[in-house]
Amino acid sequence: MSDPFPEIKSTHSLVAKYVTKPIWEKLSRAVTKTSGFSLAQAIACAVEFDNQHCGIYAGDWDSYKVFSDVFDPLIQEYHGISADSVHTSDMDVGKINGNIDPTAPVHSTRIRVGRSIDGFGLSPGITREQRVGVENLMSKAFANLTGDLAGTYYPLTGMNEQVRQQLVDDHFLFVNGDRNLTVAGMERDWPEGRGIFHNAAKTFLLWVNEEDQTRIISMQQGGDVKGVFERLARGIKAVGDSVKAESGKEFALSEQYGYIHSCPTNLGTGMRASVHVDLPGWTKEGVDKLNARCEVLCVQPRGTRGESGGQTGCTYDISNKHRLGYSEVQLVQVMIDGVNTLWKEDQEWQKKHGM
Amino acid sequence: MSDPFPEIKSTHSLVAKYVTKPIWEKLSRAVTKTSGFSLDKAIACAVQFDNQHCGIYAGDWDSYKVFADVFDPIIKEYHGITDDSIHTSDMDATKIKGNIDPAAPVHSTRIRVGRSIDGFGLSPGITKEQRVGVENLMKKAFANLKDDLAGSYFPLTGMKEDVRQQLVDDHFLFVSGDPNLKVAGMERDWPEGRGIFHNKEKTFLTWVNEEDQLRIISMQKGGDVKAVFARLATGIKAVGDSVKTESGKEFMLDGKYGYIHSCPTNLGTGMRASVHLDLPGWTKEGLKTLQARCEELHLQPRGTRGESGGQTGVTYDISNKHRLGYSEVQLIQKMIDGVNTLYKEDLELQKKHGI
Repeated sequence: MSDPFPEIKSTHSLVAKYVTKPIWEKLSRAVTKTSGFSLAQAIACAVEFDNQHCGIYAGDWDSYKVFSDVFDPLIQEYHGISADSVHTSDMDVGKINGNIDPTAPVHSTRIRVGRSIDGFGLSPGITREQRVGVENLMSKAFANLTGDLAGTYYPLTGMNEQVRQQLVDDHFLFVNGDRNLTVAGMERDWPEGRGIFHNAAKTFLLWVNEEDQTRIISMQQGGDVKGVFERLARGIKAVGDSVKAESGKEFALSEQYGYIHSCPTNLGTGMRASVHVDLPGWTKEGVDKLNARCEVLCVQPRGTRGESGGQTGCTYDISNKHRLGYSEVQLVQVMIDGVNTLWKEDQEWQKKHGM
Repeated sequence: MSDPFPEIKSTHSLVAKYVTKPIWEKLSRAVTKTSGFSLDKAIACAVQFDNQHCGIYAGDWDSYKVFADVFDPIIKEYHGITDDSIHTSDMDATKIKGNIDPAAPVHSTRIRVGRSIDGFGLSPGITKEQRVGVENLMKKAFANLKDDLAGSYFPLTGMKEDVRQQLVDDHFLFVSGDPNLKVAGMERDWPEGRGIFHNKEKTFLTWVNEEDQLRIISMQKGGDVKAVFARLATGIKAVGDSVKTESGKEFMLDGKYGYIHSCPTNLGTGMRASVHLDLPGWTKEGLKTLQARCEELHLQPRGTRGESGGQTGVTYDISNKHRLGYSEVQLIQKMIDGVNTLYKEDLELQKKHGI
């Protein structure tokens, strides 16, 4: 028996490059043990859409192994690492030099990582039972958080619509309907098993069962990146210890690829450290020029209404571009230095354009 | 998650050579689509026994692809083929030169091949439902056979014990209890789905659901190999056409590895062409010397009571050693020429030992 070789619409994607006919012949008849995930499911986005750069997701940790003939070269090319690279984690805020310029017009700072619990599938492949299992385990784990980390878990199922919309508008909560997430299988059984934990101040939050099993988030108004990073490090440790105490299970961590995420682009630190900052000078100069400058500074500009939200006004989400090949400390430093540079240059553009 | 690396007791086996820890890490979390077969099941014999040369079986055609990192080098080394070898099938009996010397003391001649129907698992992995499906399909297919091929199907379930024992003693029917077959998963649900078809003369037979889905057999008293081969070729074609008519399905045939069998040592022609013949001179000379001579002649000597039956008396089962890398015509020729040579030499050895 064989499965017909699919037409990969994203012809310039990494999937198109690495999922050749012989590779398909070899791997199309395999499914993973943890969640029964197949190569066809993994590459669904590259097959259905024509605009994917990467185009592949993992359904579980098994996927990275069973389909390694595809994932390994793809990961190496995307992240620019070598076959014998190892991942180094460093969450020591004491190593951060300086902070964002206090005069920079930073609205807010947010740092997130993804974490997955070994033994459960990842969002594109996780079974319904496993997803509820993750939510139940996290509900127990949250109850052990103390001090400024202590808070409440709010399941998406049954959440008051106004409450949900306010949490989204205030940049706390994820939404659904993203085409990539839908096609990749991450919105199956929505909204069952999904929810958000947060402390009273909404400065420490955790998403349950969106694109990853957990997204652990530290955020606050203003530009104190060091403070946000310190809370994140504490929070990640507390959550991990609590999960271990409740279940004996650890976060999925690969020596080579770091913290396991559903999207291979998030491997390594899984960390996106971002600010919402006004850059009126850069806006006048042009978004294309800003994009090019950010490339050079190893940061990524986005709109302020989610990953696929688009750009309006002069407020940008600026975050570290890399996830793997650098430690968390290095990436936070890159973001701080990059934002400071953009702010200095923004003031020059403002002068140039007579603003 | 990961599965602990097993202790492979057959330390000199091809499995021990090619199932390394990194390969295990990569493939232990995969299962095949057709029958849910895994690498640990495939290598069960090499793990449990200390005497395996090969030690691996396939649970379905998928296995050869999904676990290609293991099967490809094992097949290449065992059969002595190259990376770009392809399989050539040739069932044209008119190409056979000569026949076995009519003076040779040949009791009987038997030629068998294995055939597997695409879409069903192979014996180590086949599901209960699929196994019954194969039997039901074959019952319908057998009904279409005509003339000297026409006959009856006798399921093992409910077969009278004295009938069964007679069929075994007369060298027609397989037995159960072989340790390799058991450990490899081929005796699950025994005797359900198993049986034997034969024509009235018992010169054309088919085993259903033993080590392979089908073993197609032509046999008769005496040494007329050409005739036995001609009947086999006609019979294989008739069975294949009938299966196609009844189900639309074909025999599994791979461009590189030929006809798919559960044991990789049977790939290619899947053909074992054998005679039972007396070699009193060779017996006196010594079994070890006979075995060495057979190696040179590309033959394999066995006892006459099945693959694991052991040697008694002066009657040997002599068959072609190879399965893949040669056509059927070439292997028949080797067997004929080899038996003729052994017979000539046996006469000399009889003189030497004063028999």
